[in-house]
Amino acid sequence: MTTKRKIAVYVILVVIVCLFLSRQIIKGSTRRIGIGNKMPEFSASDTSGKVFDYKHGVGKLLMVVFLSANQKNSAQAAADIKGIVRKLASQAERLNVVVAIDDPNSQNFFRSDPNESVVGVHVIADIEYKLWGKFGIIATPTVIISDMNDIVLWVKAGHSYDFAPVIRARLNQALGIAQEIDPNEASQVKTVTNATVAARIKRHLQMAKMLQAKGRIESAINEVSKAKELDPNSLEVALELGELFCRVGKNEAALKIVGRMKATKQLDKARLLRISGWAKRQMGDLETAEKYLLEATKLDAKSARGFFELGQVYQAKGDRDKAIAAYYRALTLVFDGR
Amino acid sequence: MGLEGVTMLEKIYKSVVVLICVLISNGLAVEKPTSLQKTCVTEECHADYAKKAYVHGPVGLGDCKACHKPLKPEEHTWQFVRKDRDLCEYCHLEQTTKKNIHEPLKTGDCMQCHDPHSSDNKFLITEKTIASLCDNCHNITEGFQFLHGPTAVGECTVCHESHSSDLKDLLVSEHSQLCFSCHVVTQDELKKYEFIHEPAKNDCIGCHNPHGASNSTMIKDFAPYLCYTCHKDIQNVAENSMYQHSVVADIDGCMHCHTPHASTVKFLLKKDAMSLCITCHDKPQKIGKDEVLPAFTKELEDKKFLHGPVSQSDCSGCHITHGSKYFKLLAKEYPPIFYAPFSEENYELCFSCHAKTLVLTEKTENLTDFRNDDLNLHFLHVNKERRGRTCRACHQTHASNLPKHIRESVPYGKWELPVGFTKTETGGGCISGCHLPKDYDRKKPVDYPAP
Repeated sequence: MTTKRKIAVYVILVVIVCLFLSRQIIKGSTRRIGIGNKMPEFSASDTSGKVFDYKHGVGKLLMVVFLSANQKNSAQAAADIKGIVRKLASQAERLNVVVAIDDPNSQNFFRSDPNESVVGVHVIADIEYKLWGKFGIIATPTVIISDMNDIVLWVKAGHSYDFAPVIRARLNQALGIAQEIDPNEASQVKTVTNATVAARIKRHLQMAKMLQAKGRIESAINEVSKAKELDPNSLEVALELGELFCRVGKNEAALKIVGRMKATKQLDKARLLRISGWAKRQMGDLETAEKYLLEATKLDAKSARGFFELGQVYQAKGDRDKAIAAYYRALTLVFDGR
Repeated sequence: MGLEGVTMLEKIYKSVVVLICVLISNGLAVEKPTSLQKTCVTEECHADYAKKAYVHGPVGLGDCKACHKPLKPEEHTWQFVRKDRDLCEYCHLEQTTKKNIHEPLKTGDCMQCHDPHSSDNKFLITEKTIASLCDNCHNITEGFQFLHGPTAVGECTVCHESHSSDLKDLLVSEHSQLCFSCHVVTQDELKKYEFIHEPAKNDCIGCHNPHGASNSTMIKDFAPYLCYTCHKDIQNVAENSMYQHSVVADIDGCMHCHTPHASTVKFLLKKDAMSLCITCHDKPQKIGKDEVLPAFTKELEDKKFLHGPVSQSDCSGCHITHGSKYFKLLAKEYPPIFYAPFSEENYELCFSCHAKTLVLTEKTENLTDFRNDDLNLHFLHVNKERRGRTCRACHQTHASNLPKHIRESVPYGKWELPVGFTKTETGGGCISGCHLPKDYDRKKPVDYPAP
């Protein structure tokens, strides 16, 4: 035997031993994949015969969805996945979705409607459960999501109540898409809380606005008063009520309600001053009214009411030119607003 | 003077007094004009028309002929210039242009609500408030303890047009928009939720009475009856199933688990499924005459290994909440008795998540870790002519302290037969009462002689 032949035989033997050992290692080790593990590389043909190769380092994230034929939960999970991927639109370009189905007929999960084909989805008929074995799947549906570095980011088993929110949040996280929800809290249940005090106050204020528009000021005052009962310290409520009181000439009440309020925002400060000036003007205290209204119009130069009230003050004081200027400004704001 | 004389005198006095009064009143009274006048509203005639807070336009202008024309002026008799609804519509045409018209307008009976001359109430309405005006015909609040905001304050026109509307019930805008014109917070909140109850999107009055009710949330009926008006399928399951979930039939039972408007999760759940279940199942529950279901939480206490659905807080993975034909409200077939023989049909429940091939394939390297080399030990256990073991014989349903939630023991009469399962890196073994101690290894298979 020549040396070359000997080397070749040794190499072949070493390769055989390595293959045997690696098979034994794969056979023996626990199969189940967990968060933080490296996604296993694989290659499989999709139902159209096209080979899908998953290799590390491509910089795309991967979602592998294991579904079982004839399982209601799997069909529902497939519908959810389709909806989620479709909503990702152009963001889905950075995503590969592999759907492994244990029965080729169940490809209908994803292909029933040709108009509904979802971009970037590779449906693989895993009849011999090879992919199942690679990922250690024991139940369906199971969804595994990797990040861009091929590390398993999330494993979701079962089509439970939080399936869609969790999958969406984890995909968004993996794709770096901004979202309001913290992915770790995606399974936490939140419900509409329309019975909160804030919600009830808002309802009363809205109704007051509608009544005001209909000229039913007393009814509007009643509505805002209900809001005030719910939160006596609400600035928004006090401002609404103050204006309504001014409209019906209840000047003392208007001054009382805004007098104990403190505003931090510029527009709210302007509104407080405007109400005080309006009330003072109606009470005949023109000097104080002018002072408040000048300050208010400085803070909010877009309030028609502010300039109108200022015009009223100047008119009452006999300052015709200033009155005309203020009224003109108010009218300009009214028409500009339209 | 006799008695007769006195009576006579009294009669004369009375007649004189009456005569004087008549003369005075005739002297003061204004004669009805017998010829056409410029206006009817003067200090002498019909003066009160102009003295109220709100005066109809023509009356204010003294233009009575806008509505009245003389019939016989010499007798001071008049008639309307136009008939029926034309009288008002001639000027107020815009009030009746929409598809649905308020009933009085159809017959031209505008005066049912309005005073044609003047009123102390805005819009010349005949009652002090809109509410009392509407209440004359529409008695909609009878028996209600709780009234909807606009109804409570008598502002019917917040939601309804008084004259005509293109929408049913003379609504001012579509249902879907109308409620949200005040309930803005709800509208804003709903936008953030993925799972919204269908009526909450556009048909609030599907569940709520828009005027009021005998309950504070103003729902038309209590759950489950209200829910059943749409969810007939659930009603059927809840009422006709062999095994029923008692809470479903309770008044407001649906609300134990579901929220009526929107949730971040499907089925509009209020909390995660398990939290909902353990609001009751954290303590033993009497489920029959003599049967008590142990506290579910007790089964989980200090357990290291949970069954998948339990670890996912998803009791509905195996149980149907509303009712089932399978015992313990299970979703599919699962034998109620422990030593039921194995068959695919008997353990349909398990195979809703786990592939049947997991137990039906004799040789595999992919389907399970429970194998000696490639011999599937699931297959070996269940496929025996006698005493074939089943899923529940080895696996605890909810949780255990052994990997794969393997049972620590199995019931065998009064004896709890230990299973003695241990797991190794590449296999495991059982020192059980079921058979002689046996091990398995995927890497270095244990050699067992053929029986």
